[in-house]
Amino acid sequence: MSDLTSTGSAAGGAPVAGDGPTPGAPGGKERNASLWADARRQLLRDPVFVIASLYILAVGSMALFPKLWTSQDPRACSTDRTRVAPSWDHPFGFDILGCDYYSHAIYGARPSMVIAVMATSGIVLFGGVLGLLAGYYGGWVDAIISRVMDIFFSLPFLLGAIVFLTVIKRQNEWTITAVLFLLAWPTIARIIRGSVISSKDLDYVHAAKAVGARNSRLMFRHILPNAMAPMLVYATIVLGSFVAAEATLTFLGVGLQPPTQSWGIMISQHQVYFLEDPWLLLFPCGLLVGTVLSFILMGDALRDALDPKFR
Amino acid sequence: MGRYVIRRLLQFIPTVLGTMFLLHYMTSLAVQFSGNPVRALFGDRTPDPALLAAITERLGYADPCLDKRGDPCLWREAESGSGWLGTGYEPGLFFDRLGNIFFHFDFGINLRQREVTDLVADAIPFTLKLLVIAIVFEAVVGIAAGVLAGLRGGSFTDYAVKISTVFVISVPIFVLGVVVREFVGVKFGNVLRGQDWIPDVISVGVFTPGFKADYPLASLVIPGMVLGALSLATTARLTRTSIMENIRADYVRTAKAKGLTNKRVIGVHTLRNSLIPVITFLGVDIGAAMAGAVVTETIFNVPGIGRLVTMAARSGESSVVVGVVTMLVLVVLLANLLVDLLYAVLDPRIRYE
Repeated sequence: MSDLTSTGSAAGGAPVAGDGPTPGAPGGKERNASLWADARRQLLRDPVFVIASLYILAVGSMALFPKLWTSQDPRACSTDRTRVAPSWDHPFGFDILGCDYYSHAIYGARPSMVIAVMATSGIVLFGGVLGLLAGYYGGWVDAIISRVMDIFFSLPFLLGAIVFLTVIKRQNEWTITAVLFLLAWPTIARIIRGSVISSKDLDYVHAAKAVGARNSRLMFRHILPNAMAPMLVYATIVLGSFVAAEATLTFLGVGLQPPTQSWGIMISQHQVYFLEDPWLLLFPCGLLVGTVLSFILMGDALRDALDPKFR
Repeated sequence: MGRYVIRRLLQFIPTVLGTMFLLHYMTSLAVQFSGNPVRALFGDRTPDPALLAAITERLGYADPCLDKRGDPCLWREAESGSGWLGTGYEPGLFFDRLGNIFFHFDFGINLRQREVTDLVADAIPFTLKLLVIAIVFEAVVGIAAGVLAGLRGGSFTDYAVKISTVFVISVPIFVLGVVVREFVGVKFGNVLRGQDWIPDVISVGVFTPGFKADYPLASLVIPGMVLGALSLATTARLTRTSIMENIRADYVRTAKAKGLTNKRVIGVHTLRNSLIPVITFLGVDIGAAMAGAVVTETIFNVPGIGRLVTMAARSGESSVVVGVVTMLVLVVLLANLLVDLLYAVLDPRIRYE
């Protein structure tokens, strides 16, 4: 039993890459051969992953501590400097209302990141648990959960979000998070369900069952750690698509509303000035695309690193 | 085959009802938590109570269950008699809405008392053209790129397709749309419009920053391509993977060994089998494309269904949004059903008996 448990904890010990070294694999063999340790080693050698995660770190620090990046107040506006071109003191220039555009861009990182992180944690927890239950128990539990997932799947994401946000009228970070969560959890549940089904008949699960492990222990200790890899890959990619989704909803006018700072608002307010003052559009678009791209590249790199077949 | 079709059709009914319920519950919850959406139409003015009540009644927000937070509005207490099957309850708002939709084909009205079905009928030709252009563009370019990349794995084309697909995926469609409109429609279009020898259909019609009623088809080409770019990358990747799998299949080797020409081996034996997942994806993608049309039509000012939704959403006309989206969701469900049936016809390995 102890042997099985330690395998489980070594595999599940560091669910997030870069969580510090896995605390001493028992026995201290010459090589720490857990999947996550190998993956971490490979990821740190991958320049694409390193650059993408540095970019995300930068954007994340903008969201957490905007004061680190700028001392300007994005709401200190004066219309006599409307659309002044970028200069050394104001690297992004001024927007249509004469507010400092650089600080707007820095403060604009927060809503996107907060929404993406909250919604992703929500779908990972909720979708993960439902997928685990459906995959592990099978039978009528699976039938019910899968049918419910089908129903959520058949509602196109953007359309569902527009309906909900139009009717509720309170378009803030919480309602946007709620609607992203509501419409996106089935995907992750389906992924987890698939990998649980494929790993629940493996020998070590049978062995653990034979020595009398309870259902909950089997699920969380033995099956879940091995279903974690695809979920982590998908969660990384979904962070990027949530950032994009928030900006899209804001652009359509059903997301965040001015005077909140957000990249989507920056883009939608200044799209008509593109020809005269292209920087008004290029800076927020660049930040947004960079963030989405970084998340997707990180997800791709994670997928390669976590798949033993690529070794 | 027959049994599969019947089973799939039977599955279709609960899915439709479930999706309708999901939409209904989402809107009901929104009303229950944030109050009567009709108030939003008056802005900061206080409406005349009688007027407010009349509009609320007419738009279908007067049901008392919309005041009870969390109530799914499935049943209400019967006003007279013993209710449905003697339970003391009768079918509630959800069933009223279902009845309106499926028996009266009534998807609600807008504030000027026009039926949502009328509004959609006016808008649908534009959206259909846009969707056709998008799907054709996506299929032709995506499959071509995927085949090129898949046949020569590891080559320059392969990497080019791989890298460009990552970029296309990571650019949100509204960013792409705005940038294309400004660069191609306005800037490049202005250059073309300065030249006399270029026909108007090209310079004014195709390269236009927005929809032009004078060139109803030409001015939809660029918006359609932007819409198609949304799933172009997925199509290319899917084709690439599936070609790479099939090229190693036994029947392809047999075909080569028989001495068939390369063209025939690729065109008939490989491609036809590789396209099955791609066609399924294109079918399912109609749903995503409809959602994408909301963005594209808004950016390029196409008077289609998508812009109808955005305009109604911006002005707070929730009855129109709910009606149109309900209709679109039904179309998407039907498209998915047809794709599943087509899949069974195309691939003899799938029988689900």
